[in-house]
Amino acid sequence: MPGDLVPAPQAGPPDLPVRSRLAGRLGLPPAGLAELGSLARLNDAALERLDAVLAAAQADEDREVRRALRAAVRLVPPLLRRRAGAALFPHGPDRG
Amino acid sequence: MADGRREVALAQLARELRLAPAGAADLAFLADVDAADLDAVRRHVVAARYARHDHRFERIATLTRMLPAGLAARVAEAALGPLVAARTAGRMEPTEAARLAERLSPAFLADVTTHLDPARAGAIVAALPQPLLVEVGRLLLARGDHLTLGRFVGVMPAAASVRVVADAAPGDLLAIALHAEDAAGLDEVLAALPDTTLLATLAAAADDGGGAAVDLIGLVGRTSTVRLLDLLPDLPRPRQRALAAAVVRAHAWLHVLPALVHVEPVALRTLLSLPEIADPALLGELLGTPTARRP
Repeated sequence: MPGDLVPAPQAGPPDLPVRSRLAGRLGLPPAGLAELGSLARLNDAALERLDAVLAAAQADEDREVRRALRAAVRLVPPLLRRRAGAALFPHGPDRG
Repeated sequence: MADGRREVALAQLARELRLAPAGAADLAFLADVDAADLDAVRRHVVAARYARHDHRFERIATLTRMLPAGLAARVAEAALGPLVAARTAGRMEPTEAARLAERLSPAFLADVTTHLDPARAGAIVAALPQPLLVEVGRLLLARGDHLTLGRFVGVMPAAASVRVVADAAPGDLLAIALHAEDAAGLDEVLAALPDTTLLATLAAAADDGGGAAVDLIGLVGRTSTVRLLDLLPDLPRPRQRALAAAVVRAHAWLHVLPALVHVEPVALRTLLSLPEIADPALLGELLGTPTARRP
């Protein structure tokens, strides 16, 4: 979405099987859940719920980071604000 | 024993998933996942959350370097908030982060600590003055944040941890110990605590059914286990029996039996005099010669 400073919380295409999607969200390769023993044995419904909780946590954190970046620039004195903005948003104010 | 450890692992995962303090109940669908796998999931969650915005935290660290220290501290408290400040600290040089931390209010630092990953924060904690560590630790204790305090056992210098819990209620000490992730660090703290403190802790565990004492024995090393068992004769009989019953219920022999060789004779005699232990069927089972239980 234009203007968003952070990516949407979805780690991969939503139509990915839940095991691959959750693995991606955890930073694991698609078959990486297998290394998590008893977690990998959960049914897909339970994994969907974990994926949803994790997605919500990531979305919360995305919002928090976005808010913090903007607030930090506002708090810097005007003399330093341009440099601060350039440090935090090197690709422009709408792209983090 | 596994249940206590699992409960702790679930609470730690709930914290990382930003669920409310009682949020472990929201993870009831993970009932079949064991403690070790919950810990592994949590480590992946932490790594993924750090990686997601790592380049942004790096930029914020760059910004703090270009600001005077006082202003950087103000930006951290008033703009970044504890979560982003904690993540950013991980992208700063430890001495640089420690210098900034010394300008932050202890209350804000306590908030930041709840978001720090102890595995990444060791160098920063080591660079902080001990009085500040103790002040922040006591604030966390006053808030009842045993989870955070437990995670920092072994990261905080043992002397600072001991000062934090010096006046803690026995139940608090037990709860912190059960949330500890660094067994060697926990042993170091226990070794520095006086017998009276450990006795009070055992008494609190006994009064609560004894399960927490069994969980504690499962966490600590042989030396600490021997010391805890050596304190048994100093407890009143009902509490001795409560603890022994908890060991029997949890089948915690893997941790208890190897320590028995090293305990004081008086502690051994006390243990063997307890009806929960002096059960022929149980002793037969432990010695590998099953005996029919009395009806």
